[in-house]
Amino acid sequence: MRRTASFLSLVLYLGFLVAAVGCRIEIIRVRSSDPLNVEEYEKLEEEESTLGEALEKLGAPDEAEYKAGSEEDYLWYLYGDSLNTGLRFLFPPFRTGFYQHTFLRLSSESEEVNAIELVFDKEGILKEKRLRLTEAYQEQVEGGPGWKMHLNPYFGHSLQLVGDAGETDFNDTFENGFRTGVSLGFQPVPMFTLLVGGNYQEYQGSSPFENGRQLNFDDLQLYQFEIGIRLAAPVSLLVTFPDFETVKRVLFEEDLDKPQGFRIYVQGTTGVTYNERVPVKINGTPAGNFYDANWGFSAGVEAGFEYDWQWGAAYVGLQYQGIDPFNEGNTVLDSDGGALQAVLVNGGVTVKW
Amino acid sequence: MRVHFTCWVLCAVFLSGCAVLGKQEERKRIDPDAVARIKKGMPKDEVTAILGAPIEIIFSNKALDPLREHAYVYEHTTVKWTGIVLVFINFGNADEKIDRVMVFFDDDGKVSQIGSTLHAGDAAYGFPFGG
Repeated sequence: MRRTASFLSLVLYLGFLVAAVGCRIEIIRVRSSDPLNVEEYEKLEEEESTLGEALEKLGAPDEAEYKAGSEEDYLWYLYGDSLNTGLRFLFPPFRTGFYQHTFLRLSSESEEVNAIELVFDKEGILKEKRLRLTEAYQEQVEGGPGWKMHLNPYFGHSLQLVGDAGETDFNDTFENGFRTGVSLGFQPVPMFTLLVGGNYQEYQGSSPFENGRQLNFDDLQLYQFEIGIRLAAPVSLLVTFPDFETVKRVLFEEDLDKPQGFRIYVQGTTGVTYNERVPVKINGTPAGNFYDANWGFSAGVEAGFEYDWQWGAAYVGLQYQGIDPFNEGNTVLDSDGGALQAVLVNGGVTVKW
Repeated sequence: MRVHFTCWVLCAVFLSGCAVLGKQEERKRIDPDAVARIKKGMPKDEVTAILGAPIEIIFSNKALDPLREHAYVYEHTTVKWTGIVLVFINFGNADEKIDRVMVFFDDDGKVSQIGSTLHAGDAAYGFPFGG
């Protein structure tokens, strides 16, 4: 049983590294020059405005050309915006200081240029004007850039405890338990949220019969303080990923009041965890502490689905967390274990303001 | 032997997770005070004395005056690169902003119009979000 659990732990661990670290989602954006000043452009009148007025309102053009024969001045104001989204698979999956080989890269690159074209006659009077805006920029953002705070209470229950607890595996040392906590979120744009929070976890002690002895472990109680990030995007993005306009509307959406609907999310957190001491009994007699109280590092990744309203959201997901090995206690039992790893189903609500 | 799982995770996060900031500048910076000294009616040699040699000249290409200089272009570019690796997501952002001055000349070689855009200093590091 213990060997099976250790093997499962190894597979989960390697799977996590390869899938989460060796696979990279890439979002690369390149912007050149300034966004076009459409408001000033609208003020220019054909057959009235002069070259001087245009230069005063819009500044120096990105390109200019003088057409011989008609003696016309052509001015172009350009704003380039390119987006490259892709998936990269690397080996080895984590940085070791050596070369990481990209053995597969799937990407889609789109480049759009917004343009204003002005044509002036030989007298310097505006003869023609043209504007080209990509669809992604034509809708005006109401309210403009800003940010929102989130209050996010959540509750989770472990499905599986993995790892070597010392005398036995964690799965045999403790029962599956719960995790409840609250986090505060800072959301500058709809798809990205910074998180800070804490939670309490409790796993009821088991009573395994090991080597002819009846062991009784006390409950494992954990206090966790973490920071992290959450990325969320509409489920439809999985289908429309190669479409430039759709991806831009999602990634560069700034309207935080707009309900986002059904979304997928991924979340990564890291921080510290305090564990209470865990007393143990052997054949009913107190036998010291299996683990001493201590602080350790912890980290977790989570993925799931959420439904987003204007005032909040509700979500459910699966979390995989790891906590540093606990300090050995003063018992005669082997308490020199490894990291506690747990798979939890997690759900919660988010209140925004 | 203890398996420090979380240490591995933290290594994965912080060793493969990192931020890279870069800045690239092309050509000489354009002094706003110098641009302000360019006035309409000023001859070309005074313009070049103040702003230096242009990086580009737009010619009129008129039939009778094929090489008349129609406008001088001055340009300075600043690009700020941001690379952020967050475990399994790489964000890359390049923000290029430009200082550009375009000085137009009339048939007598005197300044007729001047346009300037001095935004190279607005280039910023950041995530690839936002409009």
